[in-house]
Amino acid sequence: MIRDWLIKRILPRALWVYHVNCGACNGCDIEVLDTLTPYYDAERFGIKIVGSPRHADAIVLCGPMTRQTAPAVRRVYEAVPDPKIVFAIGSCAVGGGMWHDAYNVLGGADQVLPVDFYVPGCPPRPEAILHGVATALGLTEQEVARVSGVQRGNEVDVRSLPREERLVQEQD
Amino acid sequence: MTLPEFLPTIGIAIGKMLLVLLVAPLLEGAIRKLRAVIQSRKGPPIYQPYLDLMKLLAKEELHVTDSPIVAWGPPVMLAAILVAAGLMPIGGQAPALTAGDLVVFIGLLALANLTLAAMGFATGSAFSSLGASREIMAMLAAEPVLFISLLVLAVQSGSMTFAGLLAAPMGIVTIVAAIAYILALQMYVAKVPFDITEAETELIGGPLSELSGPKLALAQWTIYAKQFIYSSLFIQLFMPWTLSYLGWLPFAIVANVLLVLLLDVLVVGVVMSVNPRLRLDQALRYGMSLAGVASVTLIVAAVVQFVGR
Ligand code: SF4
Repeated sequence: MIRDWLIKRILPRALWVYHVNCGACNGCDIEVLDTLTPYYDAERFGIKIVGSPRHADAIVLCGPMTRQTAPAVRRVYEAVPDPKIVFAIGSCAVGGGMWHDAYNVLGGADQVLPVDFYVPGCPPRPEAILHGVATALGLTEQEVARVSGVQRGNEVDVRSLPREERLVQEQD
Repeated sequence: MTLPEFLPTIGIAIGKMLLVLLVAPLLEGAIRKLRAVIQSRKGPPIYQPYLDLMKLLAKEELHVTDSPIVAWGPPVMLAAILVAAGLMPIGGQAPALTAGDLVVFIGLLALANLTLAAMGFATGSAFSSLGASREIMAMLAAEPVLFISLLVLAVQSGSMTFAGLLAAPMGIVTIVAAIAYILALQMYVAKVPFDITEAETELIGGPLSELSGPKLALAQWTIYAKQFIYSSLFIQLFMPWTLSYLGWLPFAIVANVLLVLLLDVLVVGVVMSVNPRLRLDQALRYGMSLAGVASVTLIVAAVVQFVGR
C-alpha cells in the first residue's frame, strides 16, 4: 500500500540510472552522457547516473546485444532491485541496427532482457533520449507515427514504391 | 534523578534526533542546488534528497551476503549517529544528560564510520573493500583534527562535557582551533575534494556500492546526519556569539539550523563545486598538517593554562 504509493509517486521523480554499453560504437554512450551536461540537465528531473546496478532503478542499454556481453548484461539486470525499468537507446539496442545480421550479434536488447522503452536513432539526440525517459516517467505523451512497411487495406509494399510516393505513404 | 524528572531530558534528546533526521537531507538538497546554480543549470528541487530516501526505502532489498555485519550495519550506523545527535548541544544549549561527554560523542561518530568500513569489507566485493580501506585511511586523516581542535576548547574550559565546552573562554588558541576545524570540515563530511571513500566515478560508491534499497537509504541518511552534526558543532562551539543573544531556546535552535544551512552551502557547497577529487596521499598529508597545527595549538593552550594557574 504505502510502498506501492511511494513507488508510483516518488520513483518517477528520483530515477537513478545505470548505463550499460552492450556493444555500442560509443556514439550512443556519448549522447547519454550529453543529457547530463548543464545544457540538457537531466538532474532537474531527479535523474542521476549511478555507478552500481544495486543503486539503480533503470538500466539504459546502448548498442547491439553481442554474444560476449549478453551474459554480463543479464547479470546486471539481475543486480538491479525491483521495480526496474529497461531502456533501449539507439537503433542498435532497439533491433540490432546496422549490425543486425553480424555473426556475433544476437539482435536488439530485447533478445536478452524485457525492454520497456525504445528510443531509436543512430545515435538518438539527447533531446530524444530525454523525451523517451520523460515519456516513461509519465511527464510527456508518446509521439510516434505508426508507420509499417505494409499499408493496411491496399497491401502495398512501401519499399517497392519510388521515393516520392514512399514519403507520402509514410506520412499518413 | 527519579523517572518523572528524567522524562523531559529524554524528550529533548528524542526531539534532537528527530530534528537531525528531518533537517539533514535538506543540507544535501541545498548543496546540490548550489552546484547546479554554479554550473548554470536548473538542478533538482531542494527537497530532492527526501524523494531519493523515500524511494530507496520503498525499493527491494537484494541479499548480497550472509554476513550479519551487512544485515545490521546500516541500522547500527544510523543508531550511533542518532545517539550522538541526542548528546550534542543544540541552539547553544548543552544537554541536561550528564551521560555523554566529548569522548563518548567522538566514539559514536567513529563507530558509524567504522561500521561503514566493516560493511565494505564484509560484502567482499573489490570496490567495497577498497572503499572500506580508504574509509579507514580517511578517518586517520580527519579524526585527529576533529578531536584535537575540540580538546583545545576542553583545555580552555577545564571540562570534557559539552556544557563546559560551550562555556570555554575565547582566545587566540580558540580561533586557531576553529580555523583548523573549518579547514577539515570538508574531510569530516567527505565531500568532493575528499570524497575518496565513495568516489562515485572510480569506486562506484565504495562501501555503499553493494547496498540496495532500505539499507542504502539508512546509510545515506547517516551520512547526511553526520554532515549536520559536524557543521552544527562548529557553529555552537566556535561561534557561540551567533546564538547567545537569542534568549529563547526555540529561536536559538532555528538560528542554529539556518546557520548550519548557510555554512554548508557557502563553505562545503562552494568548495565541492570548484574542486577535483584529491588522491588519498594528498588528503592524508593535508589532514596530518592540520592535525600538526592543531596539536601545537593544544600544547600552547595547555601551557598557558598551566602557567596561569
Ligand atoms: S545506434 Fe548508432 S551510434 Fe548507437 S551504438 Fe549503434 S551504431 Fe553506434
